[in-house]
Amino acid sequence: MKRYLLGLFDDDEVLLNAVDSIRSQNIPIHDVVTPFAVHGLDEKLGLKYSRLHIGGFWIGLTGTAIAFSFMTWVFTADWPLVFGGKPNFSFPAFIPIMFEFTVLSASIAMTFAFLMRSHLYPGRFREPLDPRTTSHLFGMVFKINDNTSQDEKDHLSQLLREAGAVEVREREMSKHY
Amino acid sequence: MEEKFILPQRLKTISFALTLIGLVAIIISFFTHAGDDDAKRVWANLLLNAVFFQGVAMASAFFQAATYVAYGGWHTAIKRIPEAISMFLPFTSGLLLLVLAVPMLVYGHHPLYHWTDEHVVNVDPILLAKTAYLNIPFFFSRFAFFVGILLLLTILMRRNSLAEDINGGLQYYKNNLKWASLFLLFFAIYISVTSWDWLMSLDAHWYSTMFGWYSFASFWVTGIAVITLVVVYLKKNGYLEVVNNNHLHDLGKLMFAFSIFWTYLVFCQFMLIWYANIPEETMYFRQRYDHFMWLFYSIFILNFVTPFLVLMSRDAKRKVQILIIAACIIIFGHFMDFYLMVMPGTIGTDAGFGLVEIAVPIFYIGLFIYVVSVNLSKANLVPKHHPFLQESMHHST
Repeated sequence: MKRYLLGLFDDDEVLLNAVDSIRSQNIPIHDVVTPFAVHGLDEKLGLKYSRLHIGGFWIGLTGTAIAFSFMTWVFTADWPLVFGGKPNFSFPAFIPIMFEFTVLSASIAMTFAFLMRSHLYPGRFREPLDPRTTSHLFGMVFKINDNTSQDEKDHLSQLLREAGAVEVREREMSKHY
Repeated sequence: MEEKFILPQRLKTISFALTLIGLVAIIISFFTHAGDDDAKRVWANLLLNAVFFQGVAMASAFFQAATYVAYGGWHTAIKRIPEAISMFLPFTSGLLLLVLAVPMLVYGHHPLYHWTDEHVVNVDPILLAKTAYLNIPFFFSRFAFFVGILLLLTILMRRNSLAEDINGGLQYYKNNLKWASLFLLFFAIYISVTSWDWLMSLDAHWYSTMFGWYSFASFWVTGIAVITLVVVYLKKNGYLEVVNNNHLHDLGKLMFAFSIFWTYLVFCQFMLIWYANIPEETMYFRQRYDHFMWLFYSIFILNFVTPFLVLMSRDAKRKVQILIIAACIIIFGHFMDFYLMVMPGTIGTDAGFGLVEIAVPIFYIGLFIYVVSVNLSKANLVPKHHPFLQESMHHST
């Protein structure tokens, strides 16, 4: 059983300030769940910037190289044909296909990389910590375990309420959230 | 919010000096090239710079109009800069008109546009067939119509924007929205027609349906690079407090995106002509390939490969030094791109690098610095009553 403490807020401005005040006490925030993207939350949580696009660049470059070498091999070595009197190795004619293949490989690879990193696949169902965080509440999530004393929990919920939480609750999940 | 740009005396001196040196050098080069075929090389350089700076000023006006029509808010903090640059438009238009009209009065025909010479046209069936469009009265009435209307709309937009600063209220914004929509409507035709007139008709036998888009892409990306440089200059001198990395990031994104857009159009034009291989079309590239091969390839590296690799990452677009380098490379690269449009068809193998190639840009840069900084100092640097100012201040990317 995984256990979490959940502070619920009803306003995104309050939430942003609460993140600041909790982090200034050196309490690690496990996650924040919101019904919509809140601007500035990533920076306040100190999340690292995504590296997805770096992967996209290198895979795109690989795609360019594959398209170029494949076409060169086909049109010069494997099956040379003459089109409109052009030489077999007609680089300008390769460029559109190289471009399209670059875009195709980069986009497919980035899609799958994103799904893998966020542990998503068709049919996956993630039970929400609190269904209300999908409609009108913002939840700040903390990890707790059996060793966490009641004092610590009280202290944390006290801090959350001071920061503007409308509700603080504990939640047990069968799997990692 | 009250923030006025005070024109530094040093900048004023520099701009006056540049303009004066440039002007004197242009006059000197007229004398040194007087023996050549109608001082063609001087006129070619004058035309190149006149068209280039006209494009930069027009791109700034287009920037305003496009952001108005798109209900853009992010740019409000830097809005005064494209506005000030667009006030360079009356000067560039006047100079361009001089460059086009004076040779016609002096020589009876324009030395760069061989379709203006009756003796040439009368024995040339291709040019004869094009006289319905390519004739001198129609050429100048197109100039007067399109440049006149866009100039008027640009001045109206600027005047409204300044009045908004003093009086506040939403009606100025709404009026500008109207002028901006009209501007875009005429700009779409202007950019095609004028690039046929001023640039494509230098090679009057040749035509390309991509040409208007191609030169638009070039003007537009250069305009954004110039705006970025002015923003960075002001920022470095302690102005524009509300402008932060996010605004620079967006300018960087535009430079990056439209560098790729330019490449796309250049390649489309080249690829179709290369593929069809019809002599009347390929002759355009033949001229460039035979005498300007190093330039033909290097503009591709300057305008595509460098901005693409330099401006790709998020961190690069948020660093001022990298933006300056990228903007300078883009401006230089696109200047050379226009060089490649003008020179091979007009002076061909006579092209070179000498006094006149430096003189004309220096003259224009001096004038540009003076006009833009005077216009920047005329109004509050932050449009304090603009309805999207708050949005711009909280902009994050």
